Amino acid sequence: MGLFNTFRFETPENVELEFILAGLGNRVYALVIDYLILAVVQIVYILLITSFSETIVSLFGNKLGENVALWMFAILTLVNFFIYMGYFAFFETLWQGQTPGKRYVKIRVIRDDGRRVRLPQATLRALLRPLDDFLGLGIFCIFFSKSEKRLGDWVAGTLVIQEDSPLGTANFSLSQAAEALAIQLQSEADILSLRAEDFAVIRSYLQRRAEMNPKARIELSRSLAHQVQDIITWSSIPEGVTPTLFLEAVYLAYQKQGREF
Amino acid sequence: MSSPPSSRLAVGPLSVGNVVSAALRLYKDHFKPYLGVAFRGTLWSVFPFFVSFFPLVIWAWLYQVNANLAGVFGIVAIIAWLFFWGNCIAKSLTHLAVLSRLSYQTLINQPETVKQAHQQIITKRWRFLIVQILMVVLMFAINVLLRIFLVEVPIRIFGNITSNLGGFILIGQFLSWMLYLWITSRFFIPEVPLAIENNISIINSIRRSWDLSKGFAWKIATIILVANLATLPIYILAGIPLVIGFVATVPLWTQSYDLSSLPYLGGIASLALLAAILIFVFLNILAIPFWQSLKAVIYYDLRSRKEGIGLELRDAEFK
Repeated sequence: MGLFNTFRFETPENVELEFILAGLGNRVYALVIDYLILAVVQIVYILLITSFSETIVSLFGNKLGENVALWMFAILTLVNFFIYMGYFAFFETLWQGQTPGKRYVKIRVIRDDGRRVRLPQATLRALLRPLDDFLGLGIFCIFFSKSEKRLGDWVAGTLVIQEDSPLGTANFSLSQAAEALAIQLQSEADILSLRAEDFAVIRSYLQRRAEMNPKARIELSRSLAHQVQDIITWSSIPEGVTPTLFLEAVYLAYQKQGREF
Repeated sequence: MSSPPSSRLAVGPLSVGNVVSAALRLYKDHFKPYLGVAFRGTLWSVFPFFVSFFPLVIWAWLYQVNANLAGVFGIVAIIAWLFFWGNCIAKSLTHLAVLSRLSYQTLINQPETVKQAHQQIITKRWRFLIVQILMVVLMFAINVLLRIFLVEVPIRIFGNITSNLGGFILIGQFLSWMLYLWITSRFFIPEVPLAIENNISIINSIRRSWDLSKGFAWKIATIILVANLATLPIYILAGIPLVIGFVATVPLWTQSYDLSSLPYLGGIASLALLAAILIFVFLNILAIPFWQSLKAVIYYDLRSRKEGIGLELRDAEFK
């Protein structure tokens, strides 16, 4: 069972692409951030307008007479509406389908054919947003449709996808001693009998170890090291080599071996 | 074109949004069984109140025959009912725990049926009750302490210095809310380890919630916020009859009604209130599996981060 819906399509070059859809949680989270930013922007705007209201009334009061307050209110509302619409349309067009909220949450709007979203699609999505927000209609649509589309997505022909692969980028450091051991492993052990998914597990362990609690880390590294030892048929781990150091060396050796082939 | 759900199981740490999405997904994929468990769990929690009707009738009858006997019966009946009530609440809590266990087992690719999960944890039902009681007492005590130290004490101290206390009260209140939210997040999953792990004591289960969530309290708080917002629309539905009821009573309090329409308006308001309560109970049953799944996903995510569960090398071939 997969936890997240995916979306597949074929490019004109017959290449099949698969995206993980954003999911309701990410979309709600991104919207919360965007609405918080919008609220701050709109409050600042209203404060500015009210602090300059006397100047505006004295400038236009003669021409508009008694209706000046009504006019100001109408203009204020209209500009506020454009800020609300413009925020989403502007950012999604300029930042390739992302608003600040979506960028933070790492999701992105794309067109149904996988191409980047442009002004017409971003505007349509923004125009239908109030309707989707009404009584949470959009949330129901996203939850019940397989392609997780709200009304704005159906009309604009767009999808919202997750940006990152589950693995993320390798951002961990390896010890110097691992380099030397890796060279030894390359010549003495059968590194290539490791499968790509085994390598992914080792890499994941090295990436996540800093966050783990020490006891669990020791147990896990020991168990992984024993299993890897069996796979690469390397019987003796030299004295003083910790399981984590061994796993670091295996990681390096596999990477190097992969590059050589 | 959209594809069927991916065969890949998302292993490893999940983001805030993905935790909520995963919980929704687990619920959606097992909608009927999960809803059935939530329904039975809710029935167990209200069952004692229906049953209490019978001893009340007997007591009323005895009271007319012999007041002393009725007194003795009353005391015995109250003790028996309290025990019965505790047992029913324990069973209700066990049903909630079953939901978390089912979700967790699905996450680790060892799915169980409702019956299997229930059999695994039904013997722990009194422990679930004690965990719940301890948590209620603990959170109440924390709330009182926060109120005393962050609101009442500063008022006494600064009250002697300045008469303008608004700012102090506001800051104190805000700090106490933030701290309460932080502590709630640390104690968000006290029953989940008990439902999943073998040979775990009550205190250790609560401690597991505290230990696992160390460094992740604000993430859990954000998850709770996003989960609340994602489920908000279904609660809005419950509010619709309330709005109708409220609108129906508008002529009453604006005093622009004629007396002949009073029963009619009152009828609409009462019906609306009844409908709102029924819808709210139904929606609550609908929401229970989501919240229990969410707890399971949080537990999975924290274990994955802190203990590296899911990091296994082709385990089947080695064993």
